[in-house]
Amino acid sequence: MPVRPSRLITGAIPIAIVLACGTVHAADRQEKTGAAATTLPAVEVSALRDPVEKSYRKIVRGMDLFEQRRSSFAPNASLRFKLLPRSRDTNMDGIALNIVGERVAIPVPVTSDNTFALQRSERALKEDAVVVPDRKARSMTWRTEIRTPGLPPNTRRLGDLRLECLVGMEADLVSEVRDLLGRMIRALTTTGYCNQREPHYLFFAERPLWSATLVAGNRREVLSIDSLYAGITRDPMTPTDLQYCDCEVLLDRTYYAPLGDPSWPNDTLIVFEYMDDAAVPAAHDSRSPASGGLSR
Amino acid sequence: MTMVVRIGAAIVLGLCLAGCATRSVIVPSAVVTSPRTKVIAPQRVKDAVVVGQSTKADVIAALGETLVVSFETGFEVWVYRFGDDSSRKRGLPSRATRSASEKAGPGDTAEFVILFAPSGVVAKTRIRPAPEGRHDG
Repeated sequence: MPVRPSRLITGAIPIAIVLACGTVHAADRQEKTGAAATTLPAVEVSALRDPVEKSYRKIVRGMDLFEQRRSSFAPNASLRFKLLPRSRDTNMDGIALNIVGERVAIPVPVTSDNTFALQRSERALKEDAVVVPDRKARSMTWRTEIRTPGLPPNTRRLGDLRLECLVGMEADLVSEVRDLLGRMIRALTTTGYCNQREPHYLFFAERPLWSATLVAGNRREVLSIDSLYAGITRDPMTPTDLQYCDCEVLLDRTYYAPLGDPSWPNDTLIVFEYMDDAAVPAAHDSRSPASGGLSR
Repeated sequence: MTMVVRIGAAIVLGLCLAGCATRSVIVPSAVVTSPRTKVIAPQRVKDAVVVGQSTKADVIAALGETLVVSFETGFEVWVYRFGDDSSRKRGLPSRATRSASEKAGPGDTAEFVILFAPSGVVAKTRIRPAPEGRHDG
């Protein structure tokens, strides 16, 4: 699933390992064969064994969905994509990204916050191109980045997050279990997944989270601790589980949002407080207006 | 010859294992070091913890041990759930009081959460009431 390994997936790890080994060897053969036949004009793409690549066609399908649904969820937002580290060793500076097909190679500018936008290319679609950064598989994960401009600092808008989930699932961005079993399960659950009350689609805050509070008008509700840290307070993860979660080095920044709860409108803000924020005095009850609804 | 065959077999086996073991050993960025959540009565929280002063030993003395999430940054999050701990006072097994909370769905119960700074002193606390319309632990 997009993000947290279920017990089913964990139980299937031995099978997945065998399948993955076969897949890796097959991919290597394809890579070598393809490399011999490919001529890349103008743009130099450095070869990297086992890169963390994504299907250009699928991402464009996600872009199409964004255009279709943005008026409902986030009419003023723009769509970008974001790269996040999955390993402590991943160098996130100076990432080079390209759309690469058999004959097409299009460089994609990545900004300093590791976000990017993709241009549409009929030729890349026709060639079933891939989007390839110069980093190895499992070194990074991908997310959509849909932000309505002008929001207060340390907040996200729920409608933006709902659309991020829809587009992210459509674009098949989430890096977790890249084996046959994982893909089968994902295919079975993609439809309507984001409409579940609180789907386990992991979002990442900017810094280690202390609390997240839903605010819609006068209504406030602190997210349960079970909605933070990939839910490990409810369902602890072993180090092995973590290998199949794309949150493995960003666990302290993760949160789930009530995407499918219609009682929270799209304009609901999620207000974040971070671990390293200075402690602020407040009343105990998070519903108390005097407390600011957060913590102390 | 037998030794050579054995060495060869060991190398082949090693290569196979290395080929399948595509991941390096992961040091978790966070672990749950104490998995059982303590259920406490809400009134026990009042004055039990002082931000900037209380230590882990102080909190254990006041509220008991509970579920702890330890982060590689040195921060720790301690989680208590609110419920009726009267059975504990009567000497009943604590699991009896825990069961109601454990049967509840994620986020259904009221909770008291403490953040310890890497120094080991309480940095923040929060009480989260059970959401309206859901049952309280």
